[in-house]
Amino acid sequence: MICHCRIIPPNVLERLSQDKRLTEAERKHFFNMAAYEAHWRKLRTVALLSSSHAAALGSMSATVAAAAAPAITVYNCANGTNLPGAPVPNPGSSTDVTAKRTFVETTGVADFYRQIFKRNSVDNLGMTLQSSIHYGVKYNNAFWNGQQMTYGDGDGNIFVDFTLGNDVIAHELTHGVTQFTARLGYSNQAGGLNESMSDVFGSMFRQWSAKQNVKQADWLIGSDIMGPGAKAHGYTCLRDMAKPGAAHCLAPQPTHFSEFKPNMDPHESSGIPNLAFYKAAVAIGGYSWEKAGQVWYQALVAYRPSPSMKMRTFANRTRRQAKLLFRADPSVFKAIDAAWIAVGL
Amino acid sequence: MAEYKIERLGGFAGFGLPGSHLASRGRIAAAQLEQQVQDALEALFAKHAKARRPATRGPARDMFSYRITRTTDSGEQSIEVPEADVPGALINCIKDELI
Repeated sequence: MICHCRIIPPNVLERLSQDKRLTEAERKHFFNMAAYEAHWRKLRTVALLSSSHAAALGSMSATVAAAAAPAITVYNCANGTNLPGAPVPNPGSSTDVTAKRTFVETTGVADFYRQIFKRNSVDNLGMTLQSSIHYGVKYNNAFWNGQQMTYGDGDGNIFVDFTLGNDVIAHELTHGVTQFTARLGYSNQAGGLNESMSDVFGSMFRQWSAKQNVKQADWLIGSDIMGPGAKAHGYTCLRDMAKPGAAHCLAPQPTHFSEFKPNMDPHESSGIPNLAFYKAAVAIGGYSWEKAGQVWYQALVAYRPSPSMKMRTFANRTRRQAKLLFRADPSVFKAIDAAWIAVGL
Repeated sequence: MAEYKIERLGGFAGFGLPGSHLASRGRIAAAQLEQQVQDALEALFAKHAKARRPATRGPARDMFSYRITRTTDSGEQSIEVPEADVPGALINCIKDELI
């Protein structure tokens, strides 16, 4: 029973999404309807104002699928800290190499999510992907503020321009995807999972862009933004998904769940699920986005929001999704199960 | 004489985490800060000292937080605050470094 009507109140949709008497597919459908309700209210208002747009009230899936690709916009903070800064006209042909690179790579991440995961922008409804560049002075950071991405130029010693790392751009954008799906919090185990999702999809995008299989990939995070000072000290990355505790990481991480401590920073605890993804993807072989990535994506998006999710819950979701998505290939489940067991989950 | 120590934490790169080789620290005497900055810091300590937990960051991800420690004749007091709350004059006195 799949209902395509548009008049079910949100609280009823919420209740139906948790009704154990319904099938998983039906619960998921009602969950998605509830999640899109606010967007649909806006769409309905616009559509009703113009009878010529009445067709916009067609089925949800058809409309979402037909939605235009997200607009990609770039703003220049000119070393200030007021967001978003001044708009960069035609960023794809800008003479500012940072602006052009930000436009090209953000477009690439949007294409990656659309082609590989059938997702239309962070909200799956074509939300504009807005980025601000040249934030602050020698600012050694990039962040997602809940609405957009922001990148610093780096200090030129420890770090260079943060837009030079396409995994950095995909990492920040993925925070948006997580915000609109599992809504993972940013502390304790959920925080570590949140950061890990961004590293996993950031690394996957970097591999996809370079057409690298799991053996060709280096599994490093932030290797393209390391500055000469950091390299001179032997640091080749911020984090290494394959060896989270390695000496060449600027910020080494734990490798086993037994090392997890409450209130650990998310950028530290993410090493545990990062290593699980690496182990699973390498054991499965091929391209990381084809199987392991699909399982991780469904574990992130196919359930109701879980702001306080435990790592074990996420691990079990990937186990379940491996069986659902790759029923005919039990080696996928075996690889994922073994990967989580290896990190203590 | 009162002094402020400030430490940058977290961010995409994970400044100041246990085992991290990235640190960002600075210190400044209260007397070197303009009166309005000192007043802003006073208000910040009053607001955050009451909080039992560090301020939540809402939907923001990878943004820095800052640990500010005030040393006076009566001892040390520390608060942890989001980047948006920290006066620029205090941020300007810190330096990112490899450790």
